[in-house]
Amino acid sequence: MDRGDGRERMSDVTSERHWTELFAATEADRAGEPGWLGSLRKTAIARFAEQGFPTRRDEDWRYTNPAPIAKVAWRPAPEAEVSHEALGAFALPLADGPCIVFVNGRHAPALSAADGDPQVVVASFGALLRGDAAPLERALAAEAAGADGAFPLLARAFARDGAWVHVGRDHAADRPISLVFVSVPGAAPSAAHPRFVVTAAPGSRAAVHEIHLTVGAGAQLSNALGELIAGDNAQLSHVKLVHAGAEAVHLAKTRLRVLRDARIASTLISLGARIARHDVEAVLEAEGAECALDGLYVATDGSHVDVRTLVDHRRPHGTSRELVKGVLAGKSRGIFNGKIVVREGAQKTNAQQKNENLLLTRDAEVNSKPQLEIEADDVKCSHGSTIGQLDADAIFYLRSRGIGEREAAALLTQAFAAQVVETIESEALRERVLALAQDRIFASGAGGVRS
Amino acid sequence: MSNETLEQLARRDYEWGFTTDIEMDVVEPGLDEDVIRFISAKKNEPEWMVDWRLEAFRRWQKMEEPHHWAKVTYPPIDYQAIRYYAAPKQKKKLESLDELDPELRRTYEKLGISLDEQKRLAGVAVDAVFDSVSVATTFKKELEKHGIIFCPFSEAVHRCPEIVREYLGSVVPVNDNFFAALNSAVFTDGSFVYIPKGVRCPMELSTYFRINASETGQFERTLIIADAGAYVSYLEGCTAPQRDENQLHAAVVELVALDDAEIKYSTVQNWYPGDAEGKGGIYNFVTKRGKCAGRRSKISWTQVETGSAITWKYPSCILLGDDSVGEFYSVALTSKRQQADTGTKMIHVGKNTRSTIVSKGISAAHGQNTYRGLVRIQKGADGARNYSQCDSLLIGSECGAHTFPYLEVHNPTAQVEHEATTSKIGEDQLFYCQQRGISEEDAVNMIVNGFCKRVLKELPMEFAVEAQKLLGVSLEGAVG
Repeated sequence: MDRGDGRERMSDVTSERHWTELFAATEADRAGEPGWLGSLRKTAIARFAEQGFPTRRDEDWRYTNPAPIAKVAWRPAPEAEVSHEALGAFALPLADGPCIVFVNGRHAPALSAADGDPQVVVASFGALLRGDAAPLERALAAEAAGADGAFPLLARAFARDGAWVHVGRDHAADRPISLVFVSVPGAAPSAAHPRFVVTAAPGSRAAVHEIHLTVGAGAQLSNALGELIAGDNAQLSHVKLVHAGAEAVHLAKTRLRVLRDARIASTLISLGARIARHDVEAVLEAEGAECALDGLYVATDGSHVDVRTLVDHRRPHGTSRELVKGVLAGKSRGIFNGKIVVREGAQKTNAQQKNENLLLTRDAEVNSKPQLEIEADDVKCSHGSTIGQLDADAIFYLRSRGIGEREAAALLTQAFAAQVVETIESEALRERVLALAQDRIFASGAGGVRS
Repeated sequence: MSNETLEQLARRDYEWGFTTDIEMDVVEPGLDEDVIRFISAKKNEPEWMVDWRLEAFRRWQKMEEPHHWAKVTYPPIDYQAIRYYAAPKQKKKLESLDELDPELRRTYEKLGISLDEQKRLAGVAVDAVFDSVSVATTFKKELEKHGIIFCPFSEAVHRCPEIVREYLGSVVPVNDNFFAALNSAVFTDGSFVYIPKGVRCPMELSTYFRINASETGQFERTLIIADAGAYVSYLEGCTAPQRDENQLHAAVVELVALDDAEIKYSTVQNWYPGDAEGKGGIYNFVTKRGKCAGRRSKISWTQVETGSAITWKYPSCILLGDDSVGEFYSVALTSKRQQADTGTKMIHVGKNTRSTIVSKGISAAHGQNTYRGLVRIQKGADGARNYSQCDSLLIGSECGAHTFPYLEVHNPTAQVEHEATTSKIGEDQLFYCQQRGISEEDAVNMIVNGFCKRVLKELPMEFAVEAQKLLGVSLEGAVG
């Protein structure tokens, strides 16, 4: 198939060298680390050097050109202070439960809050390394064996710290656990690598809120890598909110591992960021696993959002459902690249995927690539994708009842977005996200249906 | 379903696998500029045509065979081991069909295209292409009355060079892709159709392609031009003998529809698919593209793909004219070890352009079936509309069905919808049929035909019957 301008191979090896040199230069910062961690980092940087950055020739990067990100000489994000007030300005319901905050990749204990629940461990990687590091070692080694890719490899090599969550066996955590990653851009373009590992032990139940925020302005790369594991019969609900600055670049790889009869429901809300790329991989590793992915991206002038999802049905009797919605305004670009894979032998799989896009302005653009790859026969799989504008009849209906055109358009857009937002279990977060999404939609002049 | 029925089905023979013993005029395997000059000389081609071919050849040499994106695997093709020209030997130019080599005529009779009968039965005018050259065109006189030109490509180059020169390569440029470039360099014959202004072609035009000689590749080229207000329905059928080697078929089809013109292009592709172990079979790597150049023009592709070891093609429409319409109806069946990566591209450029895609994929035995399609709405295509539906049916646990649509929308007034489903034949559906005394195999056939109905009904009647039979035959033994 025609790849348009994507044909050029990026021959600029210097952008890879920047990172390998940076790795050597920051060796001293990692002096105190245990040997196993050092060797994981070294393997990662070696593999990165070997494979290099992707290009648009790679099918997964077909619509998001990695070159503008790769060619920037990102410096390690500097140490930065963030006050309670600055964080409070986002009005996020963080006080709801245990909360762990990282600022530019560094743990900020002053902003974090513990929880009395002994069955719920929320700690930084650093704290674990000072105590019993064995579970972390096992988890990171297993994680490193998973999917590759240039940016996740960089996160593995460079991440200074990370969030560790462990919910005890058969325990139901009654309050949501918040992982907050704050970016404070410096004068020069800088990069932080948020990491986290969430494990829900067999039979447990928990809700995790993963929140990425930008405080201040400037270019910053937030290159996240996280893993959520639901053990047998466990239930995890996960909300990821990205509320990034206008010059921020947010790249993320999130792996969801669902074991026997377990369930993970994950909702992604992507607001802001100049470039946001969410790469979600859900692996249904055992029989009876279930996964629900919901997503909403709102892109306004000058922004680019790329949502890539992979739902990998490896064992029989798996169920997955996916709904990703996009609202595109101004001169923006939205990409949905979703794949369902049903492996040989994964019989009785039931998988559904849907992508809906709303184009509000002339310069907005959508590329949707829903995909099914099926190697088993006794399955029910479907996908659907729609791209369109607001229904003229619905607008007319509202206008005939005295609602202005702008308001009518905004109302319909909100209703469109609400279907995803409503999957968020925590009422406080749901309300907040709805308000933030509304702001975005209004700010984009969504009213502005083109005329 | 029982495994035995499935196995029986897979074992079933390819009915069209015979070879014809006929004196052939062939060129030694290999490809260089001399071979191209040889082909061109054989065809008595004018200078510009030779230059065009050589230009294509030079570009082809610099191109890389695409391997990284399609979901097909095949061993490397040795382009120097292929014969680029093979033609039945003929002593003199034929005046009428009666003079055609009787052996050749028997071959076509076996294939069910009796040229004799064609003469009498009104309806379909056939251009038969045997290996590399066009051997007979029926109904020439009748068509000429309407001013329609329907002749072998090699003849068109002499008859109406100005039209050929204007349109050849205008839809599929020589450097479009690796296989199109190869075809442009070495194509030996094909069909040419020109329908003049306002003429509605009184009969279905048809080409029958047959690969006979071994070690040959077939590289034909079809060019159809429907002038303003014209209409034509064109059919294409193909078979090949059963051989252990893989043979390459790299054709190029170009369609041009001017204002208010309509072209309906139907294909029933039944090249030899190889045996159950995947040995032999045709590599069907074809570039087909239509250009709706005029306002309110329409191009409709219908394809039934049951043969070939590998089918790799995307009959596409470029919707340039305002209010133009593109359609794609496809049934692709893969059984044995067949692979198919097929679909379409609909490029919306003009305003209020519409396209419809209906694709039905059936995978059985070890077949791998992929739908890959692109719908692109360009910035200026206000009010464009697309509807796509891609369904896959899986029969057996070792096959695969994949759907890879690409939707690229650059205009907010566009409305694009894509839907796809994958499932197997329901136990309850089968049970229902069997309970009413319909055998398992008939039931499967019935369900498969029902599944494909939306596509089959687009085919001209004679072809629809053949296609239904073919589906049944290809599935035989695959049910289990």
